[in-house]
Amino acid sequence: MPERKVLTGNHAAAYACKSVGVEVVAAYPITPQSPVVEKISEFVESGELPNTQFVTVESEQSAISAVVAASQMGARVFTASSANGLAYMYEILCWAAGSRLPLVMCIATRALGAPWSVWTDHQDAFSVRDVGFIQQFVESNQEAYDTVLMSYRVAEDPRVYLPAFVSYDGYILSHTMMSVQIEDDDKVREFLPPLKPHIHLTDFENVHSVNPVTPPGLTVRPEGNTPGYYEFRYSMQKAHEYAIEVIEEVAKEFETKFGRAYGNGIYKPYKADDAEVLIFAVGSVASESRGVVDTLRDEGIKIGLISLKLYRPFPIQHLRKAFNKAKLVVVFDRDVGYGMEGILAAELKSALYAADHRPIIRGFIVGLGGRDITADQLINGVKKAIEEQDNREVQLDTHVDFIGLQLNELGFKKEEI
Amino acid sequence: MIEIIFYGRGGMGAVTAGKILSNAAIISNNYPHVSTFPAFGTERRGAPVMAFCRISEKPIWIRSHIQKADYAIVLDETVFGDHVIARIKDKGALILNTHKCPEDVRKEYNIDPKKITVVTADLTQIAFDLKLTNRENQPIVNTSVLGVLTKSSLKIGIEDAKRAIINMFGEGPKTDLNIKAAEKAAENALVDEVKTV
Amino acid sequence: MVRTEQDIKLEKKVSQTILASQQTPAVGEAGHTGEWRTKRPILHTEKCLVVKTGKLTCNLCWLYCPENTVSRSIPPKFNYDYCKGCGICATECPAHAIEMISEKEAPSCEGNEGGN
Repeated sequence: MPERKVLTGNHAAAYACKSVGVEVVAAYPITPQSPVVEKISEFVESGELPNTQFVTVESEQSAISAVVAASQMGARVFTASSANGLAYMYEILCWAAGSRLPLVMCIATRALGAPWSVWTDHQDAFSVRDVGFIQQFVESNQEAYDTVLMSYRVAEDPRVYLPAFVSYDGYILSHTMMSVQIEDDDKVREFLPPLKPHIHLTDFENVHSVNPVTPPGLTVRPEGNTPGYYEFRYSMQKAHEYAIEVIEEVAKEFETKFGRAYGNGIYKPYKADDAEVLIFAVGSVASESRGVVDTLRDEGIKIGLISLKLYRPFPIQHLRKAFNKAKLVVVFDRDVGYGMEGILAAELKSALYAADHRPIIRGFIVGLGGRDITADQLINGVKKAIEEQDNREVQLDTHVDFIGLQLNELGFKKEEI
Repeated sequence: MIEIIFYGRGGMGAVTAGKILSNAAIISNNYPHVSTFPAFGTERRGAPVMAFCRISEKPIWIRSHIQKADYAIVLDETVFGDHVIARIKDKGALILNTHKCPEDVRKEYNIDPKKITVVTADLTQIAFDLKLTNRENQPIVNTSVLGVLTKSSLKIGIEDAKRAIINMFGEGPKTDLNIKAAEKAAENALVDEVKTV
Repeated sequence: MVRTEQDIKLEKKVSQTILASQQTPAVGEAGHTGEWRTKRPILHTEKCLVVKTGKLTCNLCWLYCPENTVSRSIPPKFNYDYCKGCGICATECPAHAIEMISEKEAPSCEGNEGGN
């Protein structure tokens, strides 16, 4: 029988690992990620996960190295990290993706130091944008559980073979308790067949060296020409492009089997059908925006939300369709592409540049380093954007707006300058 | 959606109280959606802490701190003050762990009788009477407070609270003590309702 | 030009075929890399644990060889066509059964496979 439990986001992810029967887990503690692997180690200790190896390591770099090695042995693996720990994993993340290993990893998002912070924003998740992982953001603990399940299915699909991130907001989800439905192991195993790895380091009769020096050109070998580095990278880009349809397909199958859906698995629209103004955001910012949409609808503003679930591969075609009627898009970024603007805002602009319909896109930065994002802040942002939408001068301004700063209280007063 | 803030001190179990309440809410079948989280800071024993709990019939999407609560629950009287009263909604309730009666609290803190219901219970005394204490011989009040809550307009009964406490700690003599404390707190709670006239 | 159905099929096939780079020793761009060697490993079979036990037990030389030029067999054999003479096998061997000797001193035929 499926079980309903009150769980934190971290524990929901741990239960998902239990449901899929991960075989090797290695991780190094960092707030706010630690409880996810602590829970898994409890499962291992209590015998609830009898076939799982929990490897204790001395750093994040070792943690990801251990799971990469285990994945090359054909094991289903898991790890998790946050912020500076994730940054320390960076090198091996590239190896995981470059070897097309189907590992799944959770990021309990947290602000990157310095200055030291343990609170949430999305900077860490976006900082690993280009390593080659599939990247997803979730809005609730149930979605975290479900997305880990779906991610293993997608990552292990022979049409994809890419590692995947599932990012949930530190504290806001990682330490917040919500009710989560835990599915039967048998039903999950039906949904997720055993892993068919493409690297078998345990096949001692056919020993291969994996990822040797790969020259710029092709190599002529007895078995035929082998690809150069360039072909491997082309293949990875194409795998990302075509992963989108697999992700959609898996989301549909998940809905049929378990009865829960998160939009189309790519993005989650909320009151978006007739909306003239659309909010675009991920994770906690998106969920907070739902109430904002309700409030502003009551005031007569035709507003909706596009909550992005799949960030990499970036679903350009889907977004062009989603925004093809909106006049104004307000993007709330809990991150900054320093020296540019909010990362989501920049990427949405790039995605819609060649679209038939190009709405005005106005970006705001919110809630860095765990600054509480209130509905009022978001409402003010939307109203400001609506007011300014016909003002060409505002649109040409490249300076970035931060909402919810407390400069006044620090003595920086406009009227005194 | 009903919003509840727990005030306490690090180590008293304010966060756990929120978790048990969420469990009770789900068990009651009246509030299938819950969201419970502390105001995270640099947690230390004895520091004032806050925990937030939202329970609802519909999915909860709001993720920010609770600005104004339907129920403010104070586990330790020494953290109580005007800042707590300021965060209670109109027609909301204050639940205070104190030996004082609601009328005295109302007078002392000048709480508007038309706006806020005041409920008091001497949870600390109940804990000492039942010898419900931790290893450092400090009273445990985060379970008994749920008994008080079942006397409020929340659609959570004492049976739901009991089951939630058992789910949290398992069956055993300590759990029985916690349940007894909750029942006793429910019996002994003093309520001074909002005067609508 | 818009991509045709064939283009899409080809792209998908590439993305599903070119996965991780996995290779066995063979003539590559650099030819027979064994020619780079100044010292070669030789096996003193009387010390080798695999030979002594008659089982595929130790095989650390095979496991550690970065070029996959040591076989997992009884006795372990070196592929001198591709062995670059790095000496990792000799360092790792717990029984000190592998010795690195100068190419000049090496007998022309070792009885092992390969040789240059």
